[in-house]
Amino acid sequence: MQETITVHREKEVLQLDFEQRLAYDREIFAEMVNPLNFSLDINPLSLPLSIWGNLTWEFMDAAERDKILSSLFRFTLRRGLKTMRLYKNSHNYAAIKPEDFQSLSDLMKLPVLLKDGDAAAGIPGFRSLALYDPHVLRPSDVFSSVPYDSGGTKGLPTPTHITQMDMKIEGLALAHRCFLAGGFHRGANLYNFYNPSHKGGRLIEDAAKMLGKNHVLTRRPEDDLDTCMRKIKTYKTHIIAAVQPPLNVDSNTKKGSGVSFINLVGSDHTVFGRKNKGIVQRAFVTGFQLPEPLIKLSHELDFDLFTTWGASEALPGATSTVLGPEHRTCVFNNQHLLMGPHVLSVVRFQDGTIVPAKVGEEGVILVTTIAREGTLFFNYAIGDKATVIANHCACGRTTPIIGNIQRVDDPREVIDAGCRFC
Amino acid sequence: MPLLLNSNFIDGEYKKSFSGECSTKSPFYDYTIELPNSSIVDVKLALSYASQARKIAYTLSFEQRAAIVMKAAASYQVTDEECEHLVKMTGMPRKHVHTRMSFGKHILESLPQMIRSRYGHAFGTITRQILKNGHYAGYETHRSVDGVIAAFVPPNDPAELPFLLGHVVMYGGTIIVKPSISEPYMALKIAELLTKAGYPAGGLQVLQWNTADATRAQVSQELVRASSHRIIMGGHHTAEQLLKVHDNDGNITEEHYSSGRNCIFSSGNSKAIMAPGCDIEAVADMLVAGAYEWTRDCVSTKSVFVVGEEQKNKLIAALQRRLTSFCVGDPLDENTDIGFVEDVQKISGIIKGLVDFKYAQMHAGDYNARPFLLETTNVHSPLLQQELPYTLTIFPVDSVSSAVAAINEASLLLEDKMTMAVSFFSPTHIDSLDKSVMNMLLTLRCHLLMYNKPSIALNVFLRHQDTILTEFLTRPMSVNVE
Repeated sequence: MQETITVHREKEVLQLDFEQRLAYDREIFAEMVNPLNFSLDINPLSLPLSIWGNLTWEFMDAAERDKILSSLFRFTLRRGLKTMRLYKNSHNYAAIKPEDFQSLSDLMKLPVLLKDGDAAAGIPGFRSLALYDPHVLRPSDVFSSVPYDSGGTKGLPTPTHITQMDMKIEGLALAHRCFLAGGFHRGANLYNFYNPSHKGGRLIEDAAKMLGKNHVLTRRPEDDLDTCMRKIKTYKTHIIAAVQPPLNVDSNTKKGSGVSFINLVGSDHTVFGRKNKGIVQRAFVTGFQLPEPLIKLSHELDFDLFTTWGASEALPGATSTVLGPEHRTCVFNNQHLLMGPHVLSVVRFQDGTIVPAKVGEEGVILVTTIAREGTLFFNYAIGDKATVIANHCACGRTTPIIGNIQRVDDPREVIDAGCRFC
Repeated sequence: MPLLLNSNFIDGEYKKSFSGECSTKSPFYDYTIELPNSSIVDVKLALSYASQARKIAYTLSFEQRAAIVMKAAASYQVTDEECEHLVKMTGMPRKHVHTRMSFGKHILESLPQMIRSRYGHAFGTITRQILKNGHYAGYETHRSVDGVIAAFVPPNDPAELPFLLGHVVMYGGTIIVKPSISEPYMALKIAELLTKAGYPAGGLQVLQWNTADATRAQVSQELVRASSHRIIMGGHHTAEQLLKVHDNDGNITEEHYSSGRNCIFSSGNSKAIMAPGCDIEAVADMLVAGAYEWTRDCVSTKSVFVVGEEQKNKLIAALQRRLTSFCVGDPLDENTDIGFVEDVQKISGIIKGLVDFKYAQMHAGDYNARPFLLETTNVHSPLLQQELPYTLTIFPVDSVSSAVAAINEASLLLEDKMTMAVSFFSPTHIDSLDKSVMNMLLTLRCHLLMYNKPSIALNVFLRHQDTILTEFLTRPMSVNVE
């Protein structure tokens, strides 16, 4: 009986518009966190999972959020140091004391975790270790997990160990804190062009289902462009989720082979946008930075376009929006940082230490896990850099906005900048 | 009104690229034009527009298409501003630019009649009736092709675009043209003209990008990949670059010679033969027209094989008289005969080297001013291989058969082993020509035999090079009624 009531309530919640939903989430959030004492180290996995799909995280007072997240982080850090051999066996982490992390700004005291080091310079990265023993990345207290490989663009991929609970946490965050703001709504039909065997592809499908999509269609690897276009029409697809590689990369042979977003539009533009009364009016496009011509195309055909930063190691990390005041900053490639289940920091290297990048400055993205059963990353230099665009936005979110996200092509860009913590 | 060069012509409208701009500067004047630097996004959208347009273009009858071409021809005007732009970008004299642009109008006017007379029409499409024993055995029809045509057009002749796009309209095709960034205007002009005359929006589109920009390396490939037919007017070297994709190590990863149909226009270095007994003055006039009036076209005459020493000397004298009266100067000036050329130092250097080492003899010109009139007896001379502008080379021979043999030997050294056009100057009318001479001429390694015509006097009613666009751009179907 209790379950039936919950289901009914979920359906009602999904029918709320964004503002109503935010007000509702604020109430629920308060109910969940008010009884807790965040001076203590609280296990993030002990909180109701639905908290990771709560909109309040990005709209709440920054100091209050920092207090909550640093409490959760201390627990996660302590667990990581104890259960992950990557950290346990490294002398770099021997002196780390979780109690020293009273604020997320204290993350600057943590070593930077490098995937690829510089063997010649005697600076190790964990990829070489993980290739021989992938379990160095798996907490010993995990019962059952699935290793999801990273993209492997710089060599052999490394696994991130993910549990069923982790998928749920990330799915909730993606669904409610990215997709809702991206204009997804209950009852719409989604066509997912991501590889269903990849973590991102699975999460998109899971997240869409959480929002109560009328149906979620996932492209089968054997479906060619013509088949996909036929299905877009016959299934009356409203929203497309697809990758778009950089435009100077051969979109037919690389990631997203044959079904990059622009290949879909180029196949029949009349299906897209309000200008042509096309059925597809929204597009969630990721994988790389949204190319500027694609943004102009969205204006020309009049369809909504947004993106979310994510990787198999951590997803989602930041998002742009479709809903909100017209003069908001968080559009297209300008993405609000999401606070939990992962936290992204944009940092510069200065005199052998790391410092947060200020507005207008470019820095390296570091990924830190707050809530996960599986692989925990602390200050992990995932291989991206970004510019801090703003600290405030007309949309009401209280998290920084990052943009101009690019790959760091050479790990020495991190190492040579003065990082000596690896 | 300023020329709309900084836009693509997409879906029947001038539209800015989604992907920024680039610029190109005239090699001769302080004149720079801004152009779209299109990316794959622009190409993809244009392809989609083309697919939509094809559904309409396909339904147009032969009569409707002919009416569109004729209406465009009627609207075809050449303005001073257009001429000035082309002069600045090509360095060709204004009066010759005007002539070549105006030739485009003639092409459009002639195309429907040409196709009618060559193929006939029935069932609302190009259809030839086939006779058997005086009765109709059936029909051979030509319908428009299913896919999108891609064309890569060099800047050498403003008459090429009316020729190309006029054909596409007559066949109900859909095309995306990538003009050279050093002269994109004519493509825009003709696409707009024919679209305004009634051809479906999106049927004729023009996209521009800077092929030298490394970030646009994929754009040409995308267009090639998505097109079923490609017309490449820049020669085999350009075709190789477009139709073969290499990885960073130089390995071929993709080839498109077999993935669609390719029409590669590559011949050049046109030549002439002067048979014994010609009217020297008349031949000199035609050679001047063929060799010096328009020097950027593949059909401009580069050499003349003259039979007989005496006739050769008379021809040289007649040409020298004409060349001394040529006005060399600013191509924008109405009176200028000889305009600007790129790489003038390089060209002068080649000629000086040949003359200094006695591989050629100079009869007119000096190293500071064109035009050149040279003479050589070396069939492998660069003068017979390279497209040196404002340069005509005399090659003395003792008979027509020697001329044919020399031309064939010289042609084998060209890129596709064929000369574009050979003018044959003869005092004999073609109907009275000895059969053995005609048979000998038919062994020439050339695409066009211009009988008592300058090589640049193209005949719209005849095919050029080995391909006739009607057959390239249509798909045949036979209707058996026997």
